[in-house]
Amino acid sequence: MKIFYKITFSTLIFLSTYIYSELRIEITGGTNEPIRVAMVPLEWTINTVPSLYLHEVVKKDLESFGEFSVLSPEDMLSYPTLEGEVSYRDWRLLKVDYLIIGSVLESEVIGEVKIAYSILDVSRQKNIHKALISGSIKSLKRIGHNISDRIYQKINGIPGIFSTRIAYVDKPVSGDDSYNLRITDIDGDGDSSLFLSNQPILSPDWSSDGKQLAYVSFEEGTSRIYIQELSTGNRRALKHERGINSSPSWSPDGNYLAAVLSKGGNPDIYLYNLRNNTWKQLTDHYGIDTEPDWSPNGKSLIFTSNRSGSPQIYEINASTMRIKRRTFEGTYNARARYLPDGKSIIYVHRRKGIFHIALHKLKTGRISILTDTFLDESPSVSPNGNVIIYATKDRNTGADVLAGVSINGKTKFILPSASGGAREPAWSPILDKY
Amino acid sequence: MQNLFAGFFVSALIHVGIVLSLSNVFSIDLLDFNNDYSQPIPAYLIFEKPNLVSKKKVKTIIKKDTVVSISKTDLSEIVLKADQEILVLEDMINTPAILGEKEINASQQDRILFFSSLIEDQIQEVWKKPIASQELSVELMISLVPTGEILDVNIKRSSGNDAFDRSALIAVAKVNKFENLAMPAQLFNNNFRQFTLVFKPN
Repeated sequence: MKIFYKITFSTLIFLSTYIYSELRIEITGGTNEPIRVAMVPLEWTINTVPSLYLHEVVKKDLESFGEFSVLSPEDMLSYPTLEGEVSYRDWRLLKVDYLIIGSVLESEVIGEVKIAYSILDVSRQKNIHKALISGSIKSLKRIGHNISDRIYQKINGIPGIFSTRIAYVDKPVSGDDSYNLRITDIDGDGDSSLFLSNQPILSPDWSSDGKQLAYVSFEEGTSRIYIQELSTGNRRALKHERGINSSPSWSPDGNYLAAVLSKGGNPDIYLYNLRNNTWKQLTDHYGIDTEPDWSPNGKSLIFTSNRSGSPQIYEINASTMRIKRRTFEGTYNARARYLPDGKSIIYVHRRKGIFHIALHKLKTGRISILTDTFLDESPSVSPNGNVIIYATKDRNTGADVLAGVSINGKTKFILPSASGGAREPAWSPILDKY
Repeated sequence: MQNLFAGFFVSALIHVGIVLSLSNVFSIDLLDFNNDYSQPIPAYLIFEKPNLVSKKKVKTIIKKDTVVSISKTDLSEIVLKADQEILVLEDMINTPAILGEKEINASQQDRILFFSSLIEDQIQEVWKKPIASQELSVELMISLVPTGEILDVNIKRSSGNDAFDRSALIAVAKVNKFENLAMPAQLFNNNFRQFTLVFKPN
């Protein structure tokens, strides 16, 4: 029997020389042209006058990070609403890759509308996604963002972020103003205040379910970490320790907060157990350890430490407590954040006296500078890992603004913000599951 | 004793296999058409006119090629028309002796590389990589007809990401027909009639 197996095995090896010789052609590069999408204005079948046009919301969303070019209705040759009415040849002539068609329909629920739409693959003449979604007629914009998210996911293979939000601290510009913790949609809409104080507010961080925010407030004269529930506005303070209490970061499972305490004489990283409200020390060094961030799988944390003499990024394994230095280039690397895949980190990197946001691949150690502004600080990554938002100074006015850059460094934008003192942005997780 | 014998047998089989495949015994790409001659030569001609070539060589060719079935009346006509081609056929069977095998294999490899790069270029021109393409790769099985037209596309190994797989399928659909793939039939049949396209961004 053994011999039989051996012979079979050797015959397989023998045959594999033939199978291997089959031709394989590898494609490593593609065109840099953006993916071209056309969304036909949805057929409006209800009596109410539309407050806004969904195709306009979707166009603005999809074009915001430079990944898509969206055809305007004026440039279309026809306006189909059903798959049967689509003349694929027309859309191929317009060099459209994906076509979106559909209608807005009456819903049985008063005050609601239903939207039926399809995403068509023009080159293969295939319907790749069909959906029926409903929502309040008053929140058409939200529905639009939701449709954008789905289109983005279907075409790009990663979640869309058009329904996500950004928390930030609005710093007083003049003496009478107060510190204001605010939350806004990423297009600058729906900007609202969560907490006001005449003392500093720092480092907001979202819980992974997107329902709570942790931050540092000096309202009692000293730094203290608070957790606030977004739906009710209820706040609770973590157990206060002597000295600095700062830089909260939620664990992915929501059970712990990593934070910085200086009760041991110098700042170290501690873990706060939210179930039994106890602190546990994670790092112990006479240097400063600060700004922790959890890896997406919850197994390690990165933090800034000056233990080598200058601020550098270190990674600690949460179970073995082994610490590894991650940055070696330059004399200032701080405020690191993981990307959602856990394979790269971003941080503030000083090069030639200027602070930039850098992307660092952990495996290869390769660094790329993403921003060309100056005084860039506190970067925060979008939940799909494709965009980074950070605080910087407007070049012309010198005002504090929130700026964004895509992870490939190609698209840059300034977030529209009501006043000129926006600091410390924190990008929410994906909020609308779809 | 029995175990040793088995081991010896397996090793001998592998070694013989390696030696034979290295010495190109299994290769049937002995034909080296000269640049101006790109029309495929029908295999049945060899079968009908065995007196023109030595028997041994005919046998190997028939074995590897698909013999096209054809009615007898048609045959006689074709045979008449193809007298000229038979001369070339003779030529081509004699080539190995003149050129030497190494040289032929080199030029064969060059041609495969040349046509592969044509295919690569045409795909790259239209492939729009989706954002989710880091560390993903998808393998497509492509079937062509000699004109370069794509007959069939199948996913041989998925990347696990629908959007990424789809982007590759769309690129192939956009190409629809590969241009400038005119090549000897043998080269086409052995390499390009069916091949694997790997989409793997770096």
